[in-house]
Amino acid sequence: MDQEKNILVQKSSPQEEGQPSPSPPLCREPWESYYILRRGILPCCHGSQPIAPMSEWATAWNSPQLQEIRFYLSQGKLSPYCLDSLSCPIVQKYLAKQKQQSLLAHISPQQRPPLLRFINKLLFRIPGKLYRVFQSKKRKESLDVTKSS
Amino acid sequence: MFSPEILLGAGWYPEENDGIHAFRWMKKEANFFIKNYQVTGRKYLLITAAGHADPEEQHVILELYINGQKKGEKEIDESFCSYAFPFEETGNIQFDFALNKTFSVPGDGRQLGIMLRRMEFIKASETGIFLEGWYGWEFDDLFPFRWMKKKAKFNLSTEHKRKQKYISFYIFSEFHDFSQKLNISLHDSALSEITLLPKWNFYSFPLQLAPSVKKEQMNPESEMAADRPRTDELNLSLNRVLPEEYHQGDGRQLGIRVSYPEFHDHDETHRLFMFFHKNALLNYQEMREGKTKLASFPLNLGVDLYGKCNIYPHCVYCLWERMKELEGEYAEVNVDERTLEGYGHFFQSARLVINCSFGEPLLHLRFGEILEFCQEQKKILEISTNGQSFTPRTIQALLGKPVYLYVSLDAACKDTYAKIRNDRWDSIIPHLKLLNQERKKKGNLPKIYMVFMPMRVNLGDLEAYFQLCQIIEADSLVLRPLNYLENPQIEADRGGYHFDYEKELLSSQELEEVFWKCDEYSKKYDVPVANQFTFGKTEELVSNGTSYLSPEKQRF
Repeated sequence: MDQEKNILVQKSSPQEEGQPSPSPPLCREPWESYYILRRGILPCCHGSQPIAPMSEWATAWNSPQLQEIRFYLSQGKLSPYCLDSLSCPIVQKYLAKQKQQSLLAHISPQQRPPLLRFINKLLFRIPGKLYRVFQSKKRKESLDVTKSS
Repeated sequence: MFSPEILLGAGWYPEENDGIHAFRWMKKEANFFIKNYQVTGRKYLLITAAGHADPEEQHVILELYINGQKKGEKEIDESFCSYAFPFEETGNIQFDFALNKTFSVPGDGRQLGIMLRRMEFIKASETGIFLEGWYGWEFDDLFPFRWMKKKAKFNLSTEHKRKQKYISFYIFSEFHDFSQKLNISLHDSALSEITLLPKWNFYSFPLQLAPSVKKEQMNPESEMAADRPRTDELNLSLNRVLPEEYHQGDGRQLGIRVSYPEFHDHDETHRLFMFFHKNALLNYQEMREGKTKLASFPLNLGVDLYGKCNIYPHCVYCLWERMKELEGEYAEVNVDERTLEGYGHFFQSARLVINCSFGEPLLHLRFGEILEFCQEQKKILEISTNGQSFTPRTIQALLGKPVYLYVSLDAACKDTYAKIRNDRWDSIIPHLKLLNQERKKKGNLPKIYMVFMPMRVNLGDLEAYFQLCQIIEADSLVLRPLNYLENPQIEADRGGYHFDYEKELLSSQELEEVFWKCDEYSKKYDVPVANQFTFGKTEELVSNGTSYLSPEKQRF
């Protein structure tokens, strides 16, 4: 199966200067693409399960399931459908990041290398504080995603 | 360089060659002559010239005098570009060029003005001529194209314009936010202003006559109509060009890429284009607004052309059984060009039609008809094939069509191929060579993308795969991920190898190494790599001097 879709994020392609635009969805596929296949209707080439049988191609485009996928992506989140589509590289990257974050979160201060602890102490423990603030922000963001999924 | 009837006078240096093209440096003033020129009516002197980079940013201005009378002046670009001077003189004609400045290079005592690569005369009645504002032809993309500057002119004979209602082009815009607009006017009358869609798209523009011309045509015998030059210049202008940061090292003013123009009078083709264009704008707007219920239709349509395969037992990693189970009662459904037409707005709105079947599309009995239909409907097609079903019929059907053909081999030698597919390796490569040879006569279409899915079984074949791509002159090597599956339980013994899907999946570290090697081999064998592992990554326009990595390619 072809897997050549990409999402075009405006940030790096030339665009109108000085015109702030709202954030684009996390992935454009469910807006731009539609797959009418014998195995069913897919919103994306990485879709795990068909959202409707082939014969329902005319109505599945605005089906509640596809609308839900669009809703999550427009909010910058992965939908439950996306999270089930494990062959999607975006999902794979997201899961790998999640795994890495949870691993880091479990490292106690004592497990951190002595050199880092020494530098932190030298700098009045400010780097450590900044790191914790950053981590808690990240955790909060990931919690938001998990909650919504 | 010059056509035989041109006699060079004073002010020219001897001909030089930059390795590809011959050119001649001009001094501050230069002239040439033509004798007994009998072509009456309006004509153009069309030149391809380039100036030089000026640190003080003073533009080089070229003035043209014909028989002592000033006929026009042009600002000359640093890169070779076309310029047109209209004139009506006949008989013995003297052409004088004059520049506002020259420059010299240390160690070279010459007084250098501009470089001229080409000078030719064209009749205004010859239609479809790129006049000025165009850089040279480039052939390394889906369609042959010329870069257009911010403003350009195109010649259109009145004769042609009377007969045909529309002019159409394939145009490539680099702007993904739909902020680039093209304005087309004839004389002083605006014909059309259109928002350009990103990447290659088909456009159709009406050729309505300017009121003055219309009036004259109502009374063709009038003296005024007879005197007036029977020609029209189509003026094209853009609201913006590609910012310099996107083409560093390339001093050209890059607007859009434009392919060959075509004239037509099919109202239906024009109507379909108008629908397609309106839908694309609406789709983008709805996406940006985060709408979930859409009034627009998709721009990429995935279809399932053929559900049967000629490889049995199936490729070791193929999810054939599971997919056929999913297909159930639809497994035997016939899909052909009539089915595609039946998809109505879903087909009409699609820019790209992608075949995603679990089956070999080249086996389809109506393969040729499907391709013809898609080409007629101005669709770009993506097809994946296992490469084992090339026949004179399928090769002929593919030639000259705007098709991205993905050939999945995943191996560079007979032994590895036997481990994942079968022993038909020897029959594949000659067909690919033949396809490549034949497509050269047909605008280098289809585009050939050689797919390589890195797995444990084929890791040793990577460099040889690049060599293979070089031999068959593939447009790109495509790195495609082996789908991640949880607990796949897919195992097979083939070609003396035990294939275990789970064990074949490479770790991210191993994949990084593959990417790194691909970078190296890509340079070594001059084979571009399209990495599908980067799905979801921000698209960037990259330039390396004058050659561009097309976003169309980067999409993969």
